[in-house]
Amino acid sequence: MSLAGARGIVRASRIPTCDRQAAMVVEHVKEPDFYRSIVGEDFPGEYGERVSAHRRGAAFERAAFDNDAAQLKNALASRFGYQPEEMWSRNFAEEIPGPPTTMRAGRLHRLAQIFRDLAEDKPVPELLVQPQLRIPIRPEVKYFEYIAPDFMVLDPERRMYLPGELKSFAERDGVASRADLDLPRRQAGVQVIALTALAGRVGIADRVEEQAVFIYATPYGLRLGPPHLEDIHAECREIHRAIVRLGIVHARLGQLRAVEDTALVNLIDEFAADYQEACHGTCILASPCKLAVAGSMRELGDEAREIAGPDMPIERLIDLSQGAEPTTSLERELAPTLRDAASVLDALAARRVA
Amino acid sequence: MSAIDVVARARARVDRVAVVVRDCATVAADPPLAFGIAAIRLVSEEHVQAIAFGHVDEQPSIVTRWHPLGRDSSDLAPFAAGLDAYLTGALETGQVPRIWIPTTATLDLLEMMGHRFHSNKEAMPEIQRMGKQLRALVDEASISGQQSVATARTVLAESVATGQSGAEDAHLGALLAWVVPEVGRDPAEVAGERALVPAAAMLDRNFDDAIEALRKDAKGNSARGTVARQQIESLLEVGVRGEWQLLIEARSAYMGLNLRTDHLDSLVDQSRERLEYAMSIFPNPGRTPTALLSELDRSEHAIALVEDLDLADFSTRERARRNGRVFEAEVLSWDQPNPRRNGFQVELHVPQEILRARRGSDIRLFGGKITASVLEVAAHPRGGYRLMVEVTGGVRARAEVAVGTLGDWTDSAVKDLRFRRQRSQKFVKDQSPDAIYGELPASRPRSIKTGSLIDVVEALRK
Repeated sequence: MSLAGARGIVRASRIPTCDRQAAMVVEHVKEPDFYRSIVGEDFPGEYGERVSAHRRGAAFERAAFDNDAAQLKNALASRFGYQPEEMWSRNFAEEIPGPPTTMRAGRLHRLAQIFRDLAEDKPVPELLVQPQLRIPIRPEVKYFEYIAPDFMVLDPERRMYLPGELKSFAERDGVASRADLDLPRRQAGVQVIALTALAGRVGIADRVEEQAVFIYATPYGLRLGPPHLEDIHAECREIHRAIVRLGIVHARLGQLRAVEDTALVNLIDEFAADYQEACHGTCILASPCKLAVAGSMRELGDEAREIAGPDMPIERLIDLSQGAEPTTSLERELAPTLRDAASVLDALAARRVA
Repeated sequence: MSAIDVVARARARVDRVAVVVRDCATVAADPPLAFGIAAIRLVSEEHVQAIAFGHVDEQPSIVTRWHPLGRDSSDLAPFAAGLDAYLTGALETGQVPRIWIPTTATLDLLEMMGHRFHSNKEAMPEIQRMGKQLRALVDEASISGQQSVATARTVLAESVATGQSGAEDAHLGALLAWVVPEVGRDPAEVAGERALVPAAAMLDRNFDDAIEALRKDAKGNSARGTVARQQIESLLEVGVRGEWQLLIEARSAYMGLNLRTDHLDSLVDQSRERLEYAMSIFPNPGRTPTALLSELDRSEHAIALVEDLDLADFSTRERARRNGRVFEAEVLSWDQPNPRRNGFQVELHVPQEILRARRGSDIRLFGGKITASVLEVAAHPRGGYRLMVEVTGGVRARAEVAVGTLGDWTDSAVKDLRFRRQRSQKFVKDQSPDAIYGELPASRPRSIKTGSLIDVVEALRK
């Protein structure tokens, strides 16, 4: 599993200040291989999707797309004012099956034709299953990422498609867990930006809204729940930021390789890591990056580094809290607060002993 | 996070052991019998595969389900019976039930079980009852300060500071590495190792993959199928016993902190009353606007009450002092030599710089009976503030504010306005205005003129 496409851009958006991760995304590295190259041994933890989760997700998508996407049409029809049996759908996975390297261009070409029809007000399908989009990161040097939404549905009012994500986790009373929502919303943000790029080529980008449709499973098996149409302005903004960052890192990589083509692992020190809490559960390099900043406030979490500064050594913070003379302006600012905090902790410890 | 937490985390890192940051507990002491639930779910969905349950001081009973997606739920009957016996027994003896769970992932799983089975006509009556009981428990668990469901990771994390980040504390095993450190090892290293295996009501990946590989065989009626089912159940049992062990270690670690619990008695009573009611009629979740408003009121009142009671904790009070919610004041004078019931005015000097009380704020003397309303706040020549307050309650305890006394005051004065609000909500319900109970009006597309910002605003007003 490599850091290509939406997966990579979403990752870059979660930790947008980490150039090292951005370089990994630009390079489409396979994380376990990259980890081995950097650390010198195999990643000891769990990596990638579990078989059980993959099976469940695949079964959920199959249930949605089978029989000319009958379940999906039923789920979407009433929300968008269609009759399910009258909805015209095209399934790109059936039209152009095959491995990603060969089918992307073909699917994208067909989708571009549909968008030309849309711009000319010709009839277009109401539902597109597994269409193919492309997001320009640095179009001037042909750096694109391919994006594949689960489906796109035509909003009849705006005459524009909305990207849609199918997620197999169950919602209760029409509400999905917040923790489950972050990833699909960011994925949808990537899709909206890719959609805008395609619509822009035929002059209808102004019709694209920063909205997406999400469909989760009901608590009862593989049935599709009702569609949720959500605004994703914040996610789109974060994805935009990530794209800008990826463009900069891509250009930097190009400069470094201008003389000799070198593997990223040999250039990795050129790209600064920014270890933070979000790295855990996101990036495979979280542990080595934490080790590299051991002894500084970064180790104690984002809020600690915000309060005391990321590079303040932990030992120095303890010294300041015990009355050491501050030597910098930051230390002078912090010292009274730290001494006060230490006095509270000492008093608490004394009370507990008593 | 405040500077207190930062210094506590730094100390924990240097001393290689978690620092206790509270002297008061957030959950009351366990009743004589406490119940534990540890569970394993099917990854990526909330279907239960295995449950370990029982009294926390005994070996757990185990239920394993080799086919968790099947329609047959009768395999959950032992759990349903055990839970019912515990809940019924506790409430009959007038005690609040205490259910320990390892993490909020278990709570999510219990919530989904309740959702699936509470009205499932295909399920046995005892399973449906289990569903209703779980819904009631999960609803109770959502109320701030409730005392029925204790989530081990949550209560531990809010009572100690570790030498790692909050994100790393989310793993119960990693958190425990700091609270109960392994002798001779750096807890950071131990926590890092433990975090490689998830602690969120799920199996170790190797077990999970092994079970997936056995599923196809397990569905067969042959001897091979029987063996596969046994293998799945034995893997699940190992997994759920690990989860149970983690729960017991975490509970024991929390108990070992020896935090005071005497300030929580009123919350225990309230929790028991709510559960008694919920377990007697199993009310459906509110759907109408007034029911939702009432739920919101209940939630807001619970949060205010817990915030107020939590000031009994030394470090919470000190944090509150630093943001002006608690302040020390010296009584400078009274306006009457012998005040009567109708109240009297008191002049206070507050030396601290940060003060949240304003004119009209209700304040109370911490640990006393006096309540007062702030009449005036002004700068004091000795620094800090001069407060004129009208004593509005506890007049008979006026010795608490004798001239010259020093005491802690707080602007946290909880008022229960739910009864008054219920009357207005009932009125709204009786009137059922369309604006609240009717259909939403159809959206009317508006076209906004381009031009100056003023033109746009004018267009929007129309």
